[in-house]
Parts: sequence; structure tokens; C-alpha cells
Amino acid sequence: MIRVRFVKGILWFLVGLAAAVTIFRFLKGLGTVTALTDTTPWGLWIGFDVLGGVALAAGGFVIAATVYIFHLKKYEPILRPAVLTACLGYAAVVGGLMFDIGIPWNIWRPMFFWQEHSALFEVAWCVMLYFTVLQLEFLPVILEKFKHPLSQTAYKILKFFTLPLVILGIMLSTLHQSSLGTLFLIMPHRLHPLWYSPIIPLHFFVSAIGLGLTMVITESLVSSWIYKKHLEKDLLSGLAKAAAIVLWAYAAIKVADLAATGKLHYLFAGTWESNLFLFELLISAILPAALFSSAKARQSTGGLAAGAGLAVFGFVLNRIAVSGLATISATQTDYFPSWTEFAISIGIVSAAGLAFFFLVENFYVYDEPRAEKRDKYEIVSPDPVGGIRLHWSSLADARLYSLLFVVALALGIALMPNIVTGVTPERIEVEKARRVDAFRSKSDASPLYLYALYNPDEHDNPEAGEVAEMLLIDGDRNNKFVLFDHGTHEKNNGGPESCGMCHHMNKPLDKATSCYECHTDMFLTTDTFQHEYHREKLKEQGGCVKCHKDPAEPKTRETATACGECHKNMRVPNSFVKVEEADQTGIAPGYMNVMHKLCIECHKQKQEEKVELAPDLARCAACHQGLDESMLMVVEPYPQPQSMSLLTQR
Amino acid sequence: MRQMSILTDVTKCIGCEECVKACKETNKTGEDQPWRWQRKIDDLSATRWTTILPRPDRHYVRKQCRHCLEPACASVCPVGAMHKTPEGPVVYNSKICMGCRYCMMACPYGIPRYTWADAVPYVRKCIMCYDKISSGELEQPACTKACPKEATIYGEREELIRLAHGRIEENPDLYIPKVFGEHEVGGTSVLYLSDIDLGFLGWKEDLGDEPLPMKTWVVLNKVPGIFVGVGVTMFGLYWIIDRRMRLQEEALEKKSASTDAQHDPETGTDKVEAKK
Ligand code: SF4
Ligand code: SF4
Ligand code: SF4
Repeated sequence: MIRVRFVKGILWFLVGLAAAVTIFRFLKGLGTVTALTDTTPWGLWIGFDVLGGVALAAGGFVIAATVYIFHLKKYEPILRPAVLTACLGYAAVVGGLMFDIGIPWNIWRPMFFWQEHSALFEVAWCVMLYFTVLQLEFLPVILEKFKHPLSQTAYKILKFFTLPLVILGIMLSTLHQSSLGTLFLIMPHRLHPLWYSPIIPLHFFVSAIGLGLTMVITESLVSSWIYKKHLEKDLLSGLAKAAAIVLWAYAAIKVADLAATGKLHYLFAGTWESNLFLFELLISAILPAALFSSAKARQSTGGLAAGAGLAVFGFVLNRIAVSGLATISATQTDYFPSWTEFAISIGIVSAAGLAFFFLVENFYVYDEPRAEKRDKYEIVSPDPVGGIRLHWSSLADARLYSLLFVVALALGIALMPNIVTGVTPERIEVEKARRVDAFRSKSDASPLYLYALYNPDEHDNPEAGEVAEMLLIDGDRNNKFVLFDHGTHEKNNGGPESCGMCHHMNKPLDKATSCYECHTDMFLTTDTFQHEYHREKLKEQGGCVKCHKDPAEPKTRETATACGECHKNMRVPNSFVKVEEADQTGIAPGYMNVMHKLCIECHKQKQEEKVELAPDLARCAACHQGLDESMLMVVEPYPQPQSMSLLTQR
Repeated sequence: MRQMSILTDVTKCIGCEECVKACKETNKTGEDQPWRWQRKIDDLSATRWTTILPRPDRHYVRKQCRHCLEPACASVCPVGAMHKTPEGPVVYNSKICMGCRYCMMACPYGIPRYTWADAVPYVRKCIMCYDKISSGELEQPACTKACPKEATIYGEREELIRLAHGRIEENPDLYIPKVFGEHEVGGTSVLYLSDIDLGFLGWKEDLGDEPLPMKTWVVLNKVPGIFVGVGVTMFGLYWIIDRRMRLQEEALEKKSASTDAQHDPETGTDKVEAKK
């Protein structure tokens, strides 16, 4: 039984890993444990656990229909395992959903907030009902083991309702398998045309039957390997024969659908989507169908395993393609599941596997006790089929499994990203503030500094001004830099002690305080506001209180009436400063540039309106008092800075 | 019912982002962060319900929820958390949302965003300031109010469409002769006038005029029929096959005088339960 112990050990380990992720999934949220993005909100959990899980569970209704509806009683021996697989498959789907949906405690809501126009609403109901039906279908297997009259009565009632339950199961499955395809009908804009089709529900349904058959084959092969039990090969080859027909039909429907909608040319377009599609069609349908069409391959374990394995893999790939891979071309974003997502997906499957082992080892899943006239109430521990004693309850095994579980749990916790903080914002690649040198000089006419880019040839030229240490800051990460005079800021704010005014403000993610935190009115007129002039003008109307309305407030710019409240329409057309994409220089407009752009338009406009009253309004000297007479010209919008080659060279 | 709408004239927008700021302040969306799950920091996000996309040659295009007349997001919501109000806005009820994110998958414009960083995450998108307008706190959305250029305006949908066509007529050389959103995906409540093509706002250049929910509905409305049909067919098949097998058995029994019931191993075991 080393095989059983080995497989179970691995499964317990994987469950332990998933348990670690589970803790953080519910503590820290989806952002921490998934790689999902706003443009790819559905990922591995929907693609594999939900879409794949439901499809893999299709064996249940296919075999139930075969046995009960078509009266092919020889398949009865695999009915119970198939129903059990389906039941556990659905349990896995529900489990996967609990991880994936953001607010799992609201999962019951579709029951009460009916939204019959939503495909997901239908899916939710089908999952709910069919899971219940599957449990009822399987329950007799458990009930038959207990002598209690209540359990026996329940057993008899359930047995009595077998046929209605089976038919209800088939009805629900038909809807459900196809409605998973319906989910994507509303996304023609997301799904690649090769996968999108108005009859995608039909694709899903037919492929589910094919997958159901091949999954039953796979599952029989695996359990016969693990328990070294006899393989019902003639049964399996019968299933394979049916699978061949279904898979051929599936391939035919797919291709005919493409032809009918005029999409055949996509098939050999050579894009990676077309390759993926062909690959998927080949391994999910064509290869297994071809294999299963040969009687020889059907009779050999290798042939069965290859065909069923390919089909199962191919169809799961199909579900993942539809829910994710086929949307990449539209959304232009890539998504690759994080290891934590894989851990959950694999962990759920492993847990289902363990449950399967438990049920197989403790109940009559693989045979019908009544037929064998055995004592049906005997609680078996030997495997009913292989007759080998199982060590489920042996202490040594329990110790081994729990050790593996705990080790995996610890490993998972250790590996968790952002274990304490939860998810942190990603560093979007930014140019760090770059250091450059510039000449700094102050003209007598203006309180502002003028900067010229440092040129070693001019180093000795006294006119060029002192050399200053500058920073180029790209605050909004758009590759446009602000020229920041670090030295002057430091000096004006009080020398070296002032660093803390901008740095280390203990704001989350803040390395240095943004400019606007101090220059609150950067976007509006600032120093051009002539306080004296306004005070003089408004003397008659009350003076200071005209703007500083609230006597309790400090008389600062922040608390004063905004300019726009008196000067309506202060901002005239085109007076805003926005760096144009077209003439990028790599450097954001400087203060001077900004002020010019803000003011000049208005000055020009006002000049036109009242030429008599203010003849010089649109002249440079209107603001730049004391300028040379030769500068008395009508201004034009300030020219954009020339290429800052020197700056970017450094 | 009057459908309230927003008309944005791309040719008038100067990209000052006053609307973005107003929206953030009014709806208290919080600070933008460079999260891993958004494409760019200045794209829409859970904290940025409207944004300005710069396009070449001084074009600024405001992006926000289109408030479709037949919204895909609302039609797919399995609990009705996303829903269309009679006044026009498509709004979201975080109390009943279960976080399936189907709305995010279905929206042809890729609008709804998720607060992935939170342990209890919600969907976020522009709600046309529905709460503030219906409570009377605001007369019009914060963004349209804030626009200094009247590049984006609020009004009754019919009127805005008329106004838009008027502008196109007045200035046929400037505009693309089409009101974006008048017919797309069945019509949207956020309309655009533009001199550049706005196909980039959707996942696909041309989304077509058919309302997206119809694509699902043509299948979903057949569901009850299929459900009953499958049930009837299955029972019918069962009945026919069962009857035929019984007849066969009887014929066999008659033929061979031997009355061994276990003679047929294929049907023997299940006779009890299947025929009850
Ligand atoms: S644009 Fe998207 S989110 Fe907005 S109403 Fe339409 S479908 Fe919904
Ligand atoms: S995420 Fe919420 S709002 Fe969106 S479809 Fe799901 S339940 Fe509805
Ligand atoms: S309508 Fe309201 S919620 Fe929507 S973008 Fe404008 S301000 Fe924001």
C-alpha cells in the first residue's frame, strides 16, 4: 500500500500549502494572493476550478444517463465512482468560488435577488441544485452502511426516487454545462473570434459529454493504478467508443461553426491564437477521437490512458482559453497566475482527492454489496475490491500526514508575499530624480532665479551665474521633468535643518513631499496677485474684509476669497498650461513658462477689449516693470523650450 | 422618464483634469496609488472614476462609465448589485454585491474597477453622482460642474443629442459627423462629440449597435424550454427503452421455458430500483 500512502502524503502536503494561502486570502484579500488585474478580473480559479471543475464533473450525468436512461446496465460498476467524482468535482467548484468571489458570505444572494437575465444567475442556481442532486444520488452509498432504522428508511426513500433524481440531474447538467458557455456570450469584444460564437453554449455542452466520458476513463485508470485493482477494460473501451463519436462531433461542430460564420481564415492566420486554437482542437478532440476510433487502441491501457489524458488536458485548456487566454488580444494585458493561485487550485483538487480516498475506503463505492450478499453493515477497512487492508486509521499514517500538512502550512506561510502588510503598490518604473548642474543667476528686474543649463565652456563666464545643483523630478511618471533647485529650497526653508519639511513626513509611500503640498496654489495665479493694488481699490468697499471675510480666520491666502469669486471668467480660453504630447521636450514647463501661459492669453484678450483704457496690457512691460524700451512689444505665447540636449545627456 | 446624460466635446477639452479632481473630492475616492493591477497610474482605477486620456495633437478624452441604456454590467450581475436607475445612471449597491466581477468582464468599455487591496473588496465606477443628485445635494455631477470650458455638460439625453447634432451642423469641418454613444451598444447616456475617432475607448474599435444583453438573452430565454424539453426527452427515452426491454424479456421468457431471472446479467442487478 505504499502507493496509497505516497499519493495521500503528497495530497496532504498540497492541502497544507493551500491552507496557508487560504489564511492570507481571507485576511488580506484577493490583491495579495492573486495576480488578477482590473483588466483580467477572472483568472485561474474561474478558468480551472470553476469552468474546468464543472466540465470534469460531467462524468456523473453521462454515466447516470447511460445506466438509467439507456439501460446499459453493464456500466453500473462505474456509476458510483462517476457520481462520487461529480459530487466531489462540484464540491471543488463551490470551494473554488468561495475563494474567488470577493465577498463569499454573500454567495447565497442569487437565491433571493432573482436576476433571470444574468447567465451567472443561472449558473449559480444550477450549481446549487445539481450539487444537491448529486449529494442525494450519492447519499444511499453512505446510508446503506448504517443499521439505524432512520438511515434505512432514508435509504429506501432515496432509492425510490433514483429515476427522478437522475432525470433532474441530467436536466440541470444540460443547462449548467451549456450556461458556462453562455457566460461568455456577452463578451464578443473580449473573446477572440475563434472562440467566440453565438452557439458557444452548445460547444460547452458537447465538449462536456466528451470530457465526462474521458474523465471517467481517466479516473478508473488512476484508481486501478493506485489500488492495484482490476481494470474493467471492456467497459472502458465501450466508453472510449462513445467518446470517439462525441469528440468527432465536437470537432465537426467547431469547424462547421467557424465556416458558417466566415471565420475560417483566422484558423491559419499564424497568430499565436490560431496556433493555440489548433493545438487545443487537436489534443482535445481530434487526436483522442482518432485514437479511440481504433479498436486496438481502445483495448490497450496505454491507448486508453493516452486518449483520455489528452482529451482531459485539452478540454481544461479550452476552458482556460475561453476564460482568459483568448481575451489577451483584446485587453492587451497579460496575466500569469501567481503560485498562490496554483496552490489553491491544486489544494482544492487534492482535498477532493483525499475525500475520494476516504469514501472509497470506507464505503462500497466500487461494488454493489447486495449483489455479493456480504454483510452489508460491516464497516470495512479492507478495500472492497482489492481486498487489501488499508491503514487509514493507523496512527503512523496519521502522524505522517499531519506532519506533511504542518510542514507545508509552515512553508506556505513563509513563502507568502507581503505577509504582514498585505499587498503593496507596485513600483511603476520611474526615472528617479536626476542630478544635473545649471547656472543660476538672479536678474535685478525679477525676484526669480534664471537658470541656464551648465556648459563647461562657459564655466569661467561671470555672466553665467553660479553653478547650482539641480534635480530633475518626474513626479507623475510621464517622462517630463521639473527642474528643481534643491539648494535654493534648502536655503529658503532654513538650511540643513529643513530637510524634514519635505522628506520623512511619514506618509505612506512618500519619499519626498510633493511640490503642491507647499505650493498649494501652484495652478492659480500666485505672485502676480497684487495685494497692495487690491487693498487700495477695495478701500471704499470695506477693505480687507472684502476678501478676508471671516475675522476669526488667520489672514492668509488659503482663507481669503478666491480670485474667481469676483473675477468671473478669469480663466480665458487656452490659458491653461498642459504639456502637449506633440512637442515633448522631456522637461516640464518652468515657472516662468507657466505664468506666461496663464496670464498672457487674458492680457491679450483684455487688451483687445479695452485698447483705450489699457494700451500696454499686452506688453511685456505690463508685468516686467523696468524692462528695456526695446522689449515693449506685443507678446506672443512664450516659445517652448528648445531641446534640452545638455540636460538629458547627463 | 427623462434620461439624464453627459455630453463631452473632445474639441473643447483642454485636459486640465478639473473634472477628475472634482470627482475625487466629491465622491471621496481616496488617493491614487501605483497598484500592480492597473495599466497606468492615470488610467481609471478604484480611486479614479474619471480620467483624461491624452491623445496626439492636443486631444484630451475624458473616460468614464458610459451609463449604457442597456448596460451589460447590470444585466450580468447575478444579484442586481449593479443596476440601471430610471433616471439614467447605472449605480452599484455594495451591500449586496458578492464580488463575482462578472460586471468587470462584461463591460465593453472596461470601466468597473476593483478595490483589490482590501480584504473586503468592492467594485468602483462612476455613478453619475446619483446619490448626491437624488438627495438634492448637487444639481449636476461634480465633474460637469467643475469643467471650466463647458467641454462636458449635463442634461437631458434627447436635448443633448439635439445640441450635439446642432454643433456638428454648425461646424461640419471640425467634427466627425457622429454623436458617439447615440447608438453604440444600444445607446449610452454619456455622449461624445469629437474630431478624432473614439474607438479606443472600448475593447474593440467597433462595438456594434446591438445591445449586448440581447446576446445572452436569446439563449437564456430558451432555458425553461430546454430544461423541460430535456426532462421530457429523457423520461420518454427511459420509457421507450424500458418497455422494449421488457417486451424482449417477456418474449425470451416465453421462448425458453426456463425461468431463470439471473439469466440476463445486464439487467438483473438493477431491476428492483429502476422499475419502481
Ligand atoms: S460603460 Fe460599462 S460599466 Fe458603464 S454602464 Fe456601460 S457596461 Fe456598465
Ligand atoms: S461583482 Fe458585484 S456588482 Fe459586479 S456582477 Fe458580481 S455581484 Fe454584481
Ligand atoms: S458623474 Fe460624478 S461620479 Fe461620475 S465622473 Fe463625474 S463626478 Fe465622478
